[in-house]
Amino acid sequence: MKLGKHLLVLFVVMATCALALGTVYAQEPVELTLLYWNWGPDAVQTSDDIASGFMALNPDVTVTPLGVEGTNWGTYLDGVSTLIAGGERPDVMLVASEGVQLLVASGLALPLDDFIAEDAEAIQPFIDDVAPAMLDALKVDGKQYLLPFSWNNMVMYLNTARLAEAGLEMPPEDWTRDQFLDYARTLTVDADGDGTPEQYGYAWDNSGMFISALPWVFANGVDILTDDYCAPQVTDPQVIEALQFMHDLIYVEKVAPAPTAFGDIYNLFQNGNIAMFGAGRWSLTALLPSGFRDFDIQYFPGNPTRTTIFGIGGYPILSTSEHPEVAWELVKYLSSVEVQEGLVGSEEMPFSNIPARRSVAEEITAFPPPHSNIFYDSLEGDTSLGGDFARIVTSPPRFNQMENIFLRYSSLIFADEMSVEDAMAAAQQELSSVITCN
Amino acid sequence: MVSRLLPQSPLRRKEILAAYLFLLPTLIGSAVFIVGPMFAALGLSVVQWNLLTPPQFAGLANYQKLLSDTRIDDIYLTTFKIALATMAIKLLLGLVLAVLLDQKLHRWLSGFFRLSFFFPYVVSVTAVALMWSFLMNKDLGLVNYLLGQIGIERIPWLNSSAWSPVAVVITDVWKELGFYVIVFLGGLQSIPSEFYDAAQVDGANRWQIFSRVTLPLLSPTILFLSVIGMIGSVQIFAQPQILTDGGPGDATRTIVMYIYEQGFRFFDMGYASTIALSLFVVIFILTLLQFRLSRRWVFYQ
Repeated sequence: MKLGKHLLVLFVVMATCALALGTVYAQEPVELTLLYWNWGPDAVQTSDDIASGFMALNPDVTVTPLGVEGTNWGTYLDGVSTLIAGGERPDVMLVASEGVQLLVASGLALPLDDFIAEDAEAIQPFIDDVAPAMLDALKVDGKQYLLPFSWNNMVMYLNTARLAEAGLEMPPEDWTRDQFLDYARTLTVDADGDGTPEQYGYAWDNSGMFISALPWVFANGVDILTDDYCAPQVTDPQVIEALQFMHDLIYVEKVAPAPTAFGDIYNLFQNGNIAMFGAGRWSLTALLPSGFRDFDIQYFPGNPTRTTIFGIGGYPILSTSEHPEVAWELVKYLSSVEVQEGLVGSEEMPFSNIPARRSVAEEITAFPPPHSNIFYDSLEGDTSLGGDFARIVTSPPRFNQMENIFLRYSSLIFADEMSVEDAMAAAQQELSSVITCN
Repeated sequence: MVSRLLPQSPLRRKEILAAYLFLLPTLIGSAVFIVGPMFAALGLSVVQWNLLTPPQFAGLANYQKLLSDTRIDDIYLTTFKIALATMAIKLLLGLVLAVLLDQKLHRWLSGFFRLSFFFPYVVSVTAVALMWSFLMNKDLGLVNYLLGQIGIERIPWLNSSAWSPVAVVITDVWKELGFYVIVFLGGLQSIPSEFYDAAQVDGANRWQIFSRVTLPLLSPTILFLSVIGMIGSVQIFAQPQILTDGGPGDATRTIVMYIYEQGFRFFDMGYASTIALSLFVVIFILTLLQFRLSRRWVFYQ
């Protein structure tokens, strides 16, 4: 009996200790690392705000934002890979549509479907507020790996002062490539008649396919890979035709200079030496703070049907995370109106990307340029102009190799050193060893 | 052997210990940042590793890939062309400028020229390359504008396979020349004046003094500059990366850019390490060759 009493006391003491320990353990702060692309001060500010906002709501969680620098998504991913190889174990990280397949193929991203199903009530308002095209673009094999956070597309920037001088109105929403060419011809000016224009109709930067050739290829209704990303198709007549059109802008029509870096394009556009260029919202971060207002934007011209190229960034939960449940709470927080509002910025300092939530993205229409609404409308606006006209940037698992090969050969086309047919035949051969599903 | 390394005289032994102590930071640095990575590269060359997933043993697959790589020959050729051109110009122009600066100039003037030539050397290579990319823009750059003033048509400095290597060479020469001038100047000033006095007494003219006295006595400096210049030029990276990103095509892609591309753009660390080892072998052979050949033309006082 005595022994039984002692045992009971011992059991009670042990149970109390275990409970106490459990409570202590449960209260031990969870640490999350949030990896983001540090492209500039707006990215740092936003990530710091996200971390502090989430910690204010969840005092037992510490979020450490970790910025990785990079000049584009590719170099950002280099930095991320190096960090992971060096032993860093981030919980959530910013990744673009271009990197999703690589992340999934490397087994680094957790599917979100179970989290979404369990938390349907909380996440549904967000899902209802984003363009379905964005959610679809972030699925791999039918599984949702990311929720859209922010995104960008290609629109046409036009210098309105130069349009006025040439007696041109802003082009209509459904303008075609032929109309674009007419605009480019009219806007190319060789005042001193020395054979070299002082003002060019159009210019592009060839350092990425998203900003150079892909919009024109997409406008022709094709992609450079098959829809399943299992084979290249750069020798498709429509791809060839689009590249020939770009080549001719420089060497036949002489309405565009040889490919020019974006930094130069911004200066030249503001000085009026270039009348049109294609870009996403990021260009506003160069144009608006400098006080430049003589411009507007329009959809990329169709040939004949307009198509918009877009890319999205989001925060997947990494398989390396020790706290996926808490990481999901952070992912949910990233989709909140509160965080999305932070992506609007101001007229003096706009954010580089467009918020994923339509309701929030509407706020950017309060700033110049006048037609800011077309950023979001290009994804789900007036479909009478061409139905489902938004197409995600070509994003196979080996995106970097594909882009490198494509740019290497297109640079020879734009240097007038290789015919479009020869260049794309060589690119097709090289791409075949990189783009395969076997 | 030990007695040779550590001589009996305690003073001498102390001196040697002190020397090693002073060398220690460099030795540690070399071990961590040069020798260590070299062995790591050797290990990595037999694996496939994309940084994100664990490395897998690949045997000699990376070496086979190196032999069948259709781009690497052209890239090595481009690298050598750029390296040779920059080195030859820097050596020649560096020597000419150093000789000119070695004349009896006013102290202020001499200082001004030295500073002017050396200044680009201490400026960040990125800033230099960016500046030249603005200057050499085909349609709106200052260089073509000035050439236009004398009736020369616009040159596609950064957009043509023929001209873009030239642009890289110009940028590199402008940046590095100051270092060559300063080293040459040091070499010139360390030649004892007795040699010149003796040559003058013997009735040598200025050209004879330069070719028979100055040049031979400067040959160790030329060897030093050509060895470190060659090693540096073969590894040129930032200038073409910023000016042309290796293009158009592979026209300005150097071997170090290719290593970077394979490793950090394509996440193929194994193959990148294999190319790095091939570069090590190439530089080793070239340096050996330079030292062998130097026996024929380098004179020590």
